[in-house]
Amino acid sequence: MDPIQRGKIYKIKQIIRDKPYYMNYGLIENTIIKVIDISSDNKNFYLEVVGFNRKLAIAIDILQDIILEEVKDDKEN
Amino acid sequence: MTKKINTEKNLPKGCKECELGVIQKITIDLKRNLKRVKKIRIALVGQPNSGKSTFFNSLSVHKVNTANYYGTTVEYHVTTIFIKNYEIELIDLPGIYSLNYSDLAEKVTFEIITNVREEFKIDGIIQIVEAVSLPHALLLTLDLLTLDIPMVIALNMFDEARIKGVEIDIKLLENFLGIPVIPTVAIKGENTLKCILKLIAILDKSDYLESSDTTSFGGFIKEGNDLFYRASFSKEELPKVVEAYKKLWKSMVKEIFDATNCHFEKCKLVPACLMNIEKYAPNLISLANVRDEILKLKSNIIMSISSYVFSTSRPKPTFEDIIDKFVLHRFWGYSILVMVLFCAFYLAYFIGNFIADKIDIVTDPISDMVDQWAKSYGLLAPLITGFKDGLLGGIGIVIPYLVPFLLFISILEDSGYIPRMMYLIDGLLRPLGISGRSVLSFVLGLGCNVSAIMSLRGLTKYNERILAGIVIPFVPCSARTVVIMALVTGTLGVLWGLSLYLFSLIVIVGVLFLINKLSRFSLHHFMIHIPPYRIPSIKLVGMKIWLRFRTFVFTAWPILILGTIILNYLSYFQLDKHINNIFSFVTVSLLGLPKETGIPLIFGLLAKEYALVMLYSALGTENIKSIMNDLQIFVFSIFILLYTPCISTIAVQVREIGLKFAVISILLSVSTALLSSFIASRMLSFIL
Ligand SMILES: Nc1nc2c(ncn2[C@@H]2O[C@H](COP(=O)(O)OP(=O)(O)OP(=O)(O)O)[C@@H](O)[C@H]2O)c(=O)[nH]1
Ligand SMILES: [Mg+2]
Repeated sequence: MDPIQRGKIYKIKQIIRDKPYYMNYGLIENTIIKVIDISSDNKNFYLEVVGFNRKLAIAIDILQDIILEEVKDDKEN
Repeated sequence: MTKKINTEKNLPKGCKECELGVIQKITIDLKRNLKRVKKIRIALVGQPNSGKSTFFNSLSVHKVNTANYYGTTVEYHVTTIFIKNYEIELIDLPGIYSLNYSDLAEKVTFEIITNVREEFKIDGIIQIVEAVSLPHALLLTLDLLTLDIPMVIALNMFDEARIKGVEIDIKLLENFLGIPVIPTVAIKGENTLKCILKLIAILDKSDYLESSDTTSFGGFIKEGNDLFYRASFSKEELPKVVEAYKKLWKSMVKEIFDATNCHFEKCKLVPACLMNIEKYAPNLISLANVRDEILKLKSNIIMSISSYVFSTSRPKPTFEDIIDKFVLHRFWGYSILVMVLFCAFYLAYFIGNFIADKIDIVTDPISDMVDQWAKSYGLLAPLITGFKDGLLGGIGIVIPYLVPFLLFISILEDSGYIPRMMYLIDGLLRPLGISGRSVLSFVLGLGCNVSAIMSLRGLTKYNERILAGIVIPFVPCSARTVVIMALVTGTLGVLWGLSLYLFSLIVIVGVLFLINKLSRFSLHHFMIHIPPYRIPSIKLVGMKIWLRFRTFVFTAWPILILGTIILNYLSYFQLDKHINNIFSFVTVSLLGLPKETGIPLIFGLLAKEYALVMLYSALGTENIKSIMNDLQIFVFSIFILLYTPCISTIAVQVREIGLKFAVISILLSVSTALLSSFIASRMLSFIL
C-alpha cells in the first residue's frame, strides 16, 4: 500500500497480530479511520476512529500489524 | 471516610428518586435499621477518562484527583456512603479498556473486579461510559457482562453528547444488554445517586442468580456456529445474541480451566484467559484462532448494537479539528508548546510576586512586633519566633508562588493539551530511551514528583518505567519552583529563573542519554488516546489546587514550623555552628556558600521549600542579597534543585521502581548536584 496520507480515510482491512491489544484502542477490522496528521519525523500519526468518536496518536510502525485500505468515496462527510 | 446523603445540597438534579423526602426517609431508615445494615461493595469500572473519579467525587466527601487525560487514577480509592439500609463501599478504579489488561494500573482493576484479590469481593458494578464513544465502551460492557455481577451503566458526559449531536436510544440499549442504562453528568452530580439506587434495587431482588452454565464448549461451538458467519443482527435477535455471546466466552474459558492448571484459577471465568492464551496456555494455542473468531463476533455485536442505538450528526470540521490543526502543526505546534510553558512560568511568577509583595506589607510589621515581644520570654523566645518564621514563611513565600503554579498545572491537566504534547514530543524522546507516554509523568512532575512516579504505572514497558522513575526527580517540582521563583527570579531576574528550567532539561536529557548509552532499551509502539478539549471549570480547578495544596497545609507546613523552631533553638544554644561546620566542606570549600546554608540544606532533604524558608530563618533576614551575592544565590539554587529527591519521592521510588534503582537515582542526583554547582560556582563568577 502507498504510504498513508494526511486527510485520507482508510478502512482497517485486516489485523495480522495482537488483535485483542489493538481492539482495546478501538482498532478493529472493518472500522473506518481518518488520518488527521502525520508527525514531523514521520514516526507517528494522529487518527480518528470514526465510528467510535475516538482520536488516537499512534506509531506508523503498527502498519506492520494492520493492513489498511483506502476508502475512495468520502462516506463520512 | 463516610458521608450521609441527607442534605438538599447533595441532591443531584434531574433525579426524581432523590427528592428530599426520600433522602430523609433513607436516613431515618438507616437509623432504625442500624443493626440490619447490609454491607455491599460497588465498583466504578470504565474505560480511562470516562469520568469514574468525577462520579466518585460527586458522592464522596473524600475527593480524588481527576484530569482530562487517560490514566489519571492508578490506584483504587474507597469511600463509604450510607443509603437505605445499605452501607456501601464505593470503589474508584483505574480505567480499563477491556478485561485484556496491559499495564499495572489496569491490572489493579482487573484483579479487583475478577475477585483475584479476595479481600475485595465486588457485589455490583457501575460501568461509567463516555456517552460520545459508546460503541467503544461496549467492548468493555460485553466483557463485564460475562462476570455475572449485577451491573448498571452510567451513560456519562451526557451534556457533551448533547452538544456534539450524539443521540442514543437508551431504552433499546437496555433491551439489548439486559441491564439498566442511566444518563449521567458526573461533573454536576446529575443522576449519580440514581445509579446507586438502581443497583441497590437489583441487589435487593433476591431472585438474582448467577447464570449457571453447563454447556460444554464443543456443544457451543456447534450451537453458536452460525453466529460466527453473521456480520449483523436484527433488533429482535440482539438480546439473545448477547446472551449467547456470554455463554460462548464462559464455555471457552471453562475449556481452558479444564485443560490446564490455569494461572487465573481464582478469578472465575474471565475472558482474560482467552485473550492471553499465547501467554498462559501455550499448549492450547490452537484456541487462539477460535478466540479471534469470537472477537470478530464481539465486534459484530457491538457494531450491530451501535447501528441501532447510536447516531451522531456532527458538522465537520469541528472546532476541535481546527484547533488541532494549529496545535499539532509542524511549526506552530512546537511554538505553541514553548509559549504555553513560558507563559505559564511567567504568569505564575508574575502573580506570585505580586501576591508575595502584598503579603509582605502586612506580615513584615507583624514579624518585627513578634520578634520584639518574644525577647522578654527567655527560653520560650526561640519557640515563638520559630513558630512565627515557619508560619509566615508558608504564608509569605510558599503560598504566593505555589498556588498560581498549581493553578497552571490544573488548567493544563483539564484542558486535554497534555496528550497532544505527548504526540508532539514522542519523536524527540525515543532516541533517549523513553516514549511520548512518559511525557505525562514528566509534566506531572512539574507539580509533584511523587504523583509523577505513581503515574508510571500507566507505562506498559518495565524498562521505560524504571528509566523514567530514575530521572523524574530531576524535574523541578512545584516546591523547587517556589525556590526558583522566590530566590532566583526574585533577586536575579526572570531570565536566570528560566535558565534553571533549561538547565534541568539539559540534565534530564544528559542523564537519559547516559543511561540509554549504557543499556539500550526497546520501546513499545507509541499508542495513546487523545481526549477532547475541555474548558476547565473553575470549581474543579479549585478542588484540584486544594487537593495538592492540602498536602502542604496539613503535612509540610507543620513540619516546616517545627523545623524553624528547632533551628531557632539550635542557634539559641549555639549548636547550629557545629552542625554548619560539619557541612562546611561542601557548602563553603566546594561551593563557596556561606556556612549558614548547611542546616537549611539538611532540612531541604525533607522537602525542597523548607530549605528556602530555613535559609531566611538561618540568615535572619528575607533580604538575602544583603548576605549572599548573586553567584552564591544561583549556586545554592542549583544545588537545591538537584541534590537529592525529597524524602516522599524517595519513598515512592522505592515502592514503584525498587530500592536498587532508587539508590541509583539518589546517587545520580547527588553527584550531578555537586558537579554542576561546583562548575557553576567557578565558571559563572565572571558573569555574576
Ligand atoms: N462535560 C463533562 N465532563 C466530565 C464529566 N465527567 C467527567 N468529566 C471530565 O472528564 C475528565 C475525566 O474525568 P475523570 O473523572 O478523571 O475520569 P476517570 O474515568 O477517573 O479517568 P482515569 O482515572 O484516567 O481512568 C475530567 O476532565 C472531568 O472533568 C461530565 O459528566 N461532563
Ligand atoms: Mg480516575
